[in-house]
Amino acid sequence: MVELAFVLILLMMLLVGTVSAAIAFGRGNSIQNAVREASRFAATLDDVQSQLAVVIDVAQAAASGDLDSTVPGFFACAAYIPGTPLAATRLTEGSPPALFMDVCYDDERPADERRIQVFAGRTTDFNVVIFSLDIDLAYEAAARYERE
Amino acid sequence: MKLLRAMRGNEELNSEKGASVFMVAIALFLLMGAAAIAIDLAAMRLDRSADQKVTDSAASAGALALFQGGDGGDACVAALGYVEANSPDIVGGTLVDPVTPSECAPLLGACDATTPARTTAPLSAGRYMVTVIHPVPDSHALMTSGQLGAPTQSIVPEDGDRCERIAIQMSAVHDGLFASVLGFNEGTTTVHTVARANNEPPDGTPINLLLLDRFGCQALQVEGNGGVIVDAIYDPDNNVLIPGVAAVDSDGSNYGTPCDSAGTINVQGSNALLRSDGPIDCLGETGQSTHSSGLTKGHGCGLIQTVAPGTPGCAGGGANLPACTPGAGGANPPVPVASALTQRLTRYPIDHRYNCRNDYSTIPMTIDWATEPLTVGNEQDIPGCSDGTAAFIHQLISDVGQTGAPSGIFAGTWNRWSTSFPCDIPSSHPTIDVAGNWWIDCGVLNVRTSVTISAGSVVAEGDVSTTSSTGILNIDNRSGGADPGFLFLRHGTLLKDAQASLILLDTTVYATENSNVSMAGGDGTLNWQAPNIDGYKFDDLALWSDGLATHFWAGQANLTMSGVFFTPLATADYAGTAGQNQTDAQFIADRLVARGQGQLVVAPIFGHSVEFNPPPSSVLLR
Repeated sequence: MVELAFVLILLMMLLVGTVSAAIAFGRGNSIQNAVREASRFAATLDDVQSQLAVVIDVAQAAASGDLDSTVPGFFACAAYIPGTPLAATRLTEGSPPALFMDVCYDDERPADERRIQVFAGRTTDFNVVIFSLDIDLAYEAAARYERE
Repeated sequence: MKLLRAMRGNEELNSEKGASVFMVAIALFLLMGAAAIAIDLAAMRLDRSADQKVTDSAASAGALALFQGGDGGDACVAALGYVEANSPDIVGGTLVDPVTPSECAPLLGACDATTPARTTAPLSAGRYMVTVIHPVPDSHALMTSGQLGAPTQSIVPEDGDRCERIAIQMSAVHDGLFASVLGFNEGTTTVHTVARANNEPPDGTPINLLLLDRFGCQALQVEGNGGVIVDAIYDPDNNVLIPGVAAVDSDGSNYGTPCDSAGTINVQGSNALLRSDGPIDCLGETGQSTHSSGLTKGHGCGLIQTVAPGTPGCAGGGANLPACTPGAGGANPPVPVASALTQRLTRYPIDHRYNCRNDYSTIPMTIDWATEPLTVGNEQDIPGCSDGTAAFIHQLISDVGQTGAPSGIFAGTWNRWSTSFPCDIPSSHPTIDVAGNWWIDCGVLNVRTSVTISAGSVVAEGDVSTTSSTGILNIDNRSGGADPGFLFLRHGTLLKDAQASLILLDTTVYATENSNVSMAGGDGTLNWQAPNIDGYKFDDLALWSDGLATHFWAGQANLTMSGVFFTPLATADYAGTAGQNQTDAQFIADRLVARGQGQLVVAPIFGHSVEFNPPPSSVLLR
């Protein structure tokens, strides 16, 4: 019985850890997919700089719940970079980490390239029974913007 | 007791057995569920994003096929080709690999603003189902239905019209490895792309000088004390200077032996000069001067471009072969240094403007001397032109014909030269001043007196030459508000002697394969001005030559050349003189050699040249 108790604790840690890691991985994957979807969608939008909120909506919808505004640590950022001396347009929601200059993140693309950035994330709980920690999930995606 | 203990032990044993089975079941369920989330969903998302890339590339390919004049069937074949090229696991089903036109049969046919959407049958291949839609009307579900989480997308002008759009929809079934514990074992994802090709604004660039040779060395060669200056072009609408452009389409491969000792651009000779000018204050500006517009232009502020690898080049020391070699001793590289042209410009903008054909490979075989040059042109990948009714050059060739009197739309009154005047006209002959259309049925027409043909076109069987200081040939379709005309050279050279004069006003010259142009430099006058009438089929076209022999140009005491001089299969040889060398011409030739003392200034007038649009790019609309 005592042995079982010891083994059971270890097994539970392994089991719960595996499950919560899988959930975290799944959420991360979902958000990564969502920011890509959103940037692909933004590339087809006319006048995208005035519709950055819609871009974020699409990211949230594509994540099917994993990126709702109510999830812990939620943030989302969408930016339109005109590729000219004009300033970028940026919209953030939630509580983002420190962002790069006037855009969402440093994508290391040439300054004169017209493009869109989407950056979103949340925290997720990694639980191993005897302790748990919050993992920051954050994913970025950029797309060229070719519309006039 | 023993029995009881044994029984109790058994019970305990049994109950523990039951517990472990239960625990294993729970644990397995949780683990499989976790795996379902972590692996199956991730795999499905990965597949979906791969499918999206497949439809994006397929729709882009289809849109470019439409842009190049293809119909829905062509675009569909191109699109499905890219679906197959990007999906290695496409097997079986009704999507045949490689694509045959029959899959795309529902999309065939002309398209206009009222054509309803045409859709292929859902084409199955393995776990995929692909549908191609063209045209895509504004009201089509793929144009209007909002992306998940987004409001309906409205139609904007840049979405183009329905015939320019093509849509690909692709759904795929994904089998789950673990997901059945969560109650499902397969999922279906659907992605779609609507695309359109676009090369509308920014406006095309007027290119001063374009050399079409695709492979050869020294396609642009400046030697001796000669020079070529590609001038800035004044845009009066915006009161700005547009950078001049000299472009060389040769990749320097020289049919397998790269131009290692002579680049595609070669400036030799201690005083040879090749320079392109543009607006002032550019990087690397080598000087300034006043442009004819009154604005100040910067020397070396234009563009010199070549397709050859190794650019930017010619910066000295023979670097970056085979793009270009600096001048002998490295003293005079082009200014600015040659930069890379990412793809060939090709002759197609000129063909599309003056000889718009649906398909450049189906030139009727009966016009044998026209076939070969145009076939050579086809090697330059001239895409089909959308309005096949505007093949004006082809119409000119077929109606003016090789022999006999002109027919077709040019039928009418053609005066026969030999019945009225001699072919060899001595300087003592009285001045000839005639009007109307003339068929010059001479082996050689040699003009040594003043001959004026006004308000009419000319068809010449053989050479047309103007020689000696008394020779003046003037074909004038400008004076008195006459309609523009043409000079058709069936089999000969249009020749101007050094001292003689040639005047062609509002007159387009067409030269067949067996014809060419030879303008010697000297004290004479060359005044060759293309028609300048908006909407006229040969507006701005001064010369279209299918001739293969070198065309000779030179500086003159009085030189006026304006319009497009198109000699795609011939070398243009420019021998400068100390006379005038400024031209308002756009030169498009196979190759250019500039030599002698003068500096050829290539300065087409804004709006009076063929503009080269940037290469089309496809835009993803939805």
